Formats: sequence, structure tokens, C-alpha cells
Amino acid sequence: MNRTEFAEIIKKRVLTLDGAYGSEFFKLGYGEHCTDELNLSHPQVVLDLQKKYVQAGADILLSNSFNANPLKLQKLGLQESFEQINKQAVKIGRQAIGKRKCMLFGNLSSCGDYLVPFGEADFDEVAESFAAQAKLLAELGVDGFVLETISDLAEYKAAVVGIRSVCADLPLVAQMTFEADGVCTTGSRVEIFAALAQDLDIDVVGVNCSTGPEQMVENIKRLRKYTDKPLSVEPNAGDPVLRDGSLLYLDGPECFAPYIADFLEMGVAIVGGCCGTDDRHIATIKQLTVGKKPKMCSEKLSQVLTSRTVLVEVDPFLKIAERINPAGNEKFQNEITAFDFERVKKLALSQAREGADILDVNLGIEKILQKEHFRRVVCALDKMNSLPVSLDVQSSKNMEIAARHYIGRPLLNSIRVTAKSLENKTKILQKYGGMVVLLAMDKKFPRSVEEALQIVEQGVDYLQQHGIESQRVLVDPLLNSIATGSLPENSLRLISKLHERGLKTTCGLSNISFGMPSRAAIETAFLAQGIGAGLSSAIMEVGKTELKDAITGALYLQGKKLTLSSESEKRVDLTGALLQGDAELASKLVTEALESKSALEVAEQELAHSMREIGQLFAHKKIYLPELMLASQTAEPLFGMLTEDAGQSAPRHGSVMLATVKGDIHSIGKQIIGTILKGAGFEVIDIGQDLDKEVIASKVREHRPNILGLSAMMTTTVGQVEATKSYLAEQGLNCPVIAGGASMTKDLAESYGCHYCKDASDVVEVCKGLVATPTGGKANQ
Amino acid sequence: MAIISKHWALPDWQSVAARAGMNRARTSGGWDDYKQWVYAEGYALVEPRLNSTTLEYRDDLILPTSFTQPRAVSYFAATLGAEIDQRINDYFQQGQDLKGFLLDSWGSQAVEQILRWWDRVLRRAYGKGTIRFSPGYKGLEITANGKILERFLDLPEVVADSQTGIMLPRKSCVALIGWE
Repeated sequence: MNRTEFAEIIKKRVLTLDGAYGSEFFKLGYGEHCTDELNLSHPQVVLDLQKKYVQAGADILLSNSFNANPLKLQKLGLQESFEQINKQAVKIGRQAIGKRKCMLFGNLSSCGDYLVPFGEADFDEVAESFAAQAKLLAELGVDGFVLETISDLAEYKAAVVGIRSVCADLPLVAQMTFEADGVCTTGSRVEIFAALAQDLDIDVVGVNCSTGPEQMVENIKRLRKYTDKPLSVEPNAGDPVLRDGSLLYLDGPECFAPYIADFLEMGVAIVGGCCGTDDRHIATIKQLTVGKKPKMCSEKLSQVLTSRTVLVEVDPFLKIAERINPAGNEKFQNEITAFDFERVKKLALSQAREGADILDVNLGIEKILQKEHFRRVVCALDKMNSLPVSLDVQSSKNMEIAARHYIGRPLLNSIRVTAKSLENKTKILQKYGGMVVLLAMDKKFPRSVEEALQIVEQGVDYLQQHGIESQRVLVDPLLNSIATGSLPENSLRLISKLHERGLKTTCGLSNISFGMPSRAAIETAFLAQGIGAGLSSAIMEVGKTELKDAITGALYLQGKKLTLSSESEKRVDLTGALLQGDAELASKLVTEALESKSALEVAEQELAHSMREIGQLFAHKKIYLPELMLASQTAEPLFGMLTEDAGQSAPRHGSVMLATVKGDIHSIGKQIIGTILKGAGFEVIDIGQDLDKEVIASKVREHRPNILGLSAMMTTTVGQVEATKSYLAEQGLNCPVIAGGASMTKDLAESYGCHYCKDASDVVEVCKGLVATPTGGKANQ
Repeated sequence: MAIISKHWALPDWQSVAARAGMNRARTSGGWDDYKQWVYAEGYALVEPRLNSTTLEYRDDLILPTSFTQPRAVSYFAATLGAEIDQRINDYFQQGQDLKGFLLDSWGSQAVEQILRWWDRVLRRAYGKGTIRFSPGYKGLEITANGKILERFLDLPEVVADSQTGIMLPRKSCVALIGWE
């Protein structure tokens, strides 16, 4: 099965994908096992389940290899079995299909850890892990790949890049997981995912897991606005409920059936089932999709640029901030060379406040820099939830590194219409996505508007022939300073022609006034005339009021309006400063507060109050993980400073030890709680995951925390919380225990003798309450 | 007679909506709640039964006038059971006409869905055949319902009035396909 054949199939008919594996194995009593290991220890169980899916009418059967990537297997202690598990997965799958008409796709999913900055995993390492599994599965003869249950846009990109690095010929269905509100746990919205997925080298874009079909309808609708690729969907059988200590999915096929028509209406080409679904769901999907032809997307897609968390439309006008550029500033250049990106971050923040839409990032003299500079600057901006970035990079090698590690859809600045530049930069666009600035020049500057147009057409043709649509292009007409005698009307005429041709344009605005007096006046006038001629964007000094006014006025005259910045960007209180990671402003506000309050009062009434507010915002999904982590990191040193001022060497509130119980390798919930507690002034001792009760007890004895927090994500591991709590009591370790995690409920926690935290919103209050009680002292020996 | 899994009866929303007179499937707004409700209600109430037989051609077969001596004929009938009829009646009697109307439309499409599914199963087994006929269409009197049930099928839950051909339970249907 090659990609062209697959594309033809999904043009003609909607395909049915199979259903759940993990929850089905759980029902059969194999919940304790790693699902993929069953290929070796209980192949008949896997075969029986897969046969049911084939009999129910699945057109695509997934190999039982969801966890079978090297990194995940290493975590599970199964790294030695990597080849064997995957080989057996394909063998059993083929056996289940027999002579039926059904494709076998290799199933790939998360490596089990978030990529930096949310976790420890490295982009290249993760990409290699996916590459290794994809290579093996391709060699074993799978018909394609399904990537699923990924909740980090960085991991998604690493997975696609990894898979495509070893296999360009097989179809790839690449899905991500979103909550009902259309945001994944690491803060990216469905629209941001769609914008990136639209560019990546994948055949079908989709969503799976986390929600039932009803909520997924809305997410698919949002996805469709930013991608015209075929879509896939794999809903859960509703939300899980806890019954007798087990997590169950209760929605039957009757809860699926009502929404199949909605999915088809929106152009979904592949429908399957995720957690909790079984062969009845798959038979229902088949029954309701058989003979149906996927609806093609007819909507015109918006032109957008994104970071991990911010999406910006090019229309009506894109303001590209120009100040992250050390040209003419030796000190700034030296800082960059020394990997000191503090000024870059400050400029990112200040220009965002001034109203920039995206940030042009130019690191200056590239000859004195290494690839690592480009990787690190991109990661630093990602970590602070910056605006989308224009990667203003000359060398293709450096551009490749920056584009590879950029999480979102960047603007690549720029391509010249020369064979080398086009070839190199096109490869980067194909691999990593993004929009691009196409310079209206080849080896030389064009001598006329007509020549410039001809060059642009050549460039756009080349890009289109290589799969880069003109929608992804911003043409730079290359303004010359009027000081050189260059006529601005030629630039305006070129902008106008390009606008008529349907191409978007951008320009380096300050070039027009270089070497002239009254630069602001010249730039303002040109900007207004440029917008009148159809200019779509400018790299500019975004803080200049006259320029912003010119944009607003010129757009008004065209009957358009600029959208205002969001409320969160405007907040200048302590909470706002923490959310934006503005350590300088946060410190200033804390210092001001110290004029009228003691250090402890400021810590408690100002800083802890803000962190509580941030915890609430997170719990109510007003902000997401990146903002939460950034706020906590910004608050932590301020707490340190305040407690030091107050003459306290110990943390203000006490210490909390966090652990995930035996058999459970999930850690993100624990990390979130740790982040909030740290931000609120607690000392947090995170001892890791998959821990025996004996290990936890010994750590409690060693560190004597005020509180122990135990997390259990899976239904199969909830019982370990009880076992650990009992063991601690047996050992005479009576510090209060808070139980949490997706599978925990208040009743269950209390029945184990634990305290319960519903979510991040109440953890600070619960912990403070426990520390204040007489039993909330150090763990008894 | 075979008891079949309920999920084979699940119709697609567009067909239910069309039968209920809506222009097209609604994906949002007030209909969402009704949509969920009618599937949950219908699914809980149905007890689908199916019976099917395939006979070599012979003179006493009941066939539409358009059939020209097929090699064989499959007769089949499906029902959702009596409970859904009762619930539809209850809704109308209680003045909950919209619910009654929606459940009625859903039930009609659910029976049709079973027949469609069985149609595909038969075609995979017997190859090329005629379109699927039901009494009351294409040269086959509606009163043939009762005769087909009586002579060829084993579905005791379903009875047809010999004068009108109307079947009880109401959400029942008889069909046949001729094989070349």
C-alpha cells in the first residue's frame, strides 16, 4: 500500500478503524500486563480481540504495538523485547486478518514522557525512538501507520519527523488527544495542532481519546477550519466511571451512532474507537459508514502562524516585531554568543505588550554562532509561551535546527529565488512546516517591477511544485531606502500587483527611511500607502504609536479592524506578571509591596495569593500547563527572596513529598501539583513514579515531609495507594497523605484514610490546612 | 428465528432526521439533546429479531411481478419487538408528540437498518441479485406480508393482518431478494 493508493481509497469511501485494546484487555483480566507484552505472553488473547474487530468490519486493524517504542519499553523494563514485541504484533495482526480485506497499520504512541520544557525527553531522542519503531514496522510489512494518543505538540512533531525520516512511502494517520474544550494538556489548541499538521508530511490528521463522540464533534469542527487534509476520529466510549475500584467506560454503540453523520458531514474519512469501545462500536461505525464517500473540504483555510500556545492570523495585518536583532549592538551580540538569552526573552515580552503579532528573531552574525544557539533560543521562547516567531536565519543548516525544534507553525525568513536557496529551504518547509518569506530577487535585485514579478512567479511555481502552496508564502518586495534615490512608487506598484495576484506581502519597513531624517514620518506614510496597495504585513518597530495608528487608520479605510490583544496579555498586576514570566515586573511589584508590608505578609498576601489565583485559572482551564509552569518558575525565586528577608531558612509553608505508586508510570498530574505547590511556597520533594511502598516509606523516613502526596492514574494502581498508606502506618510513619490522580475519588481516598485533592485548584488550601493542624508536623518516626 | 445484537439496529442520524422531516442532520443547538435521547431510548427498548430463509425457485414462491424466474429467493423479516410500539403510543397519549414522533422515526429507520445489514450479508453469500423488495412496492401486494411470514419464515413475534398487511409489532418489516 503506497500513499497514492491510500489517498485514492479514502477519496472513495469512509474507512472503519478498529477499537480499544487496553480497556478490552483490562475487561478480560489482563489489566496488570503491559498490553504490548501480551503479544509474547498471551498471543491468543490479542488474536481473539483483533479477530473480533476484523469480523466487525474494520478496514484498518492496528498492530498491538501502542507502547512498543524503545523509550517507552525502556520505562517498562521491556527494552530487550523491542523487536520481538513488534514482530509478534505484526504477525498476530496478519493472522487475525487472514484472507479478509483489511489493512494492517502499525500503531505508535507516546514515549511516555513529555518533551522539554514540560518533561525530560529530548526532541531528537524522541524522534529517534519513533523512527526505530516505524522502521521495524515498515520492514515487517505494515500497510501504514497510525500515530495516536499524543498530548504534546512537541512529541507529535518529533513523532512525525522521526517516522518520515525512515519511511516516506507509507500512509501516516497522525492524531493528537484533546480535552473536551479543544486544548491538550500541554496547552496547544486544536487549531494550532491543525495549522502544524496541515504542513507536516502526513496523510490524515485526526483526534482520538480523552472524550466521547459528542465532544469530539466540536473538536473536529475546529480542526477542519485549519486543515483541508482528510480527517480521522477515534472517540472514547464516553467518560470513564469508577465502579468497585475499576474504571469503566459505559457508553454503548447507541452513544456513538448519533454522531457518525456529524463526522461524515465534516469530512472525516476514517472513524474508529478508542478507550472503552469494542467490536459492537466498530460494527456500528461500519454499518453507518459503509458505502459513504468522504466529503471533501471546500473551505478556504486561514493563513496563520503559531507558537505552541498562540495562534495569529495574517489577516488583516501582521505586525512583525523587529527588535530581537543584535545588529549594531555588540553587547547584545556577545550575550547571544554566550548563550545568554535573557535580553531576547525580555524583548519578546516587551514587544508582545506593545502589540506585536509575531516576533522576528535574528541572532546576528551567524558565523560566530553554533547550531545550538538556534535550538536553544527557540526552546527558550517556547518555554515562555512567546508569540509565534519569524525565524530570521540566513544559513540553511541553522534554519533547519531552528525549524526542527520550533513548536508550532513559524515563519521562515527567508528564501531567495535561487536554485540553492529554494532547494534547501523548501526541504525544511516540507519536513517541519511553516509559512515562508519569499524575497522578490534572485542572485541580483530586479531592475523593474515586471522583472520582480517574474522572479516571484518562478519562486512560487517552484514552491508549489514541491507541495508548498502559495497560501504559505509572504512575498517581500524588498524596500530600498529613498535615500538611495529608489522610488517608493515602484515598491507600492509591486505590492499592488502581488495583491492582485492573491499573494500576501511583507516588508522590512525601516529600510525605506534608512539614512533619512524624520524616519518615523516616512515609515508611517509608506505604511499607510502600502496597506492601501494591499500590503499584508511589515517587520517594524511595533512600539511606535504613529505606526500602529497608521495601520489602524489604513485598515479602517478598507473597512477592516485590527483585533485587540487578549485580556491576559494586558494584565500588569502580579498575577499577570507571573503568567507572562516577567520576573522583572514581578520583582518590582513585590518590592513595592514590601514598602508597606512585611516580607511574610507579601509572601502570603501577594505572592501566594497570586499563585492560588493561577491555580484556580488552571483548574478552570483559563490557562494551561505552559503558563502554569512559567508562573511557578517566576514565583519560586521571589518566595526564596521573601523568606530570606524574613530571616527564615526553611520554606514558608513546609514540605510536600510527591510520588506515583507502584505499577504507574504517569507523572504529569504529579508535576502539575508540584509546580503549584512550589509556586505557593512549599518545598516539594518529588521522588518519582512506579515506586514500591517500601521505597516510599524509606524516603518519608529520610526526608520527614509534612505531607505525602500519592498519585494513581490507572484503575489498576488505585489499590496501591491503600497498600502504601497501610504500610506507612505499620511503619509508624503517620504524616498526612493526600491521594490524587485520574482514578482517585473523594470516597475512595477517604476510605483509605487519605485526604483528597480534587484538582490543582484546591491543593494549596488542603496542604496549608494540613500543615496548620497538629498532625501536620513532620512524619513521626 | 434469531435474536440479533441491538447495535445492528442503530440507524444513522441523517436518515432519522430525514424521516422526521428535517432538511438535514443538525449538528448543534437544541436537537443535540433530542438526538442523544432518542438513541438512548430506542436502544434500551428494542429487542431485535431476524429470520431469513433462502429457497430454490419453485412455482409456489411469492414474488413481485417483475421477477423473471430467479435461481433462488431469500425471504427475511425483522422486528424491533413490541416495547418500542408501546412507548411511542405512550408518548402520544401523554401529549409528548415530539418525543413520540422522533422515536417513531428512529424505530422505522432501525428496522430498515437491520434489513440493510442483512441485505449485505446475503449478497456476500449469494452474489448478484435483484434489488431488495418489500410487499407494498414494485408489483407485490402489501398483503403478501402475512403470507410470506406464514409460509416461509419463523418469526412468531410478528403477525400481519390478512386484509391490510399491517404488521404487529409496528416496527417490523418483510423483504425479499431474488438471486440470478
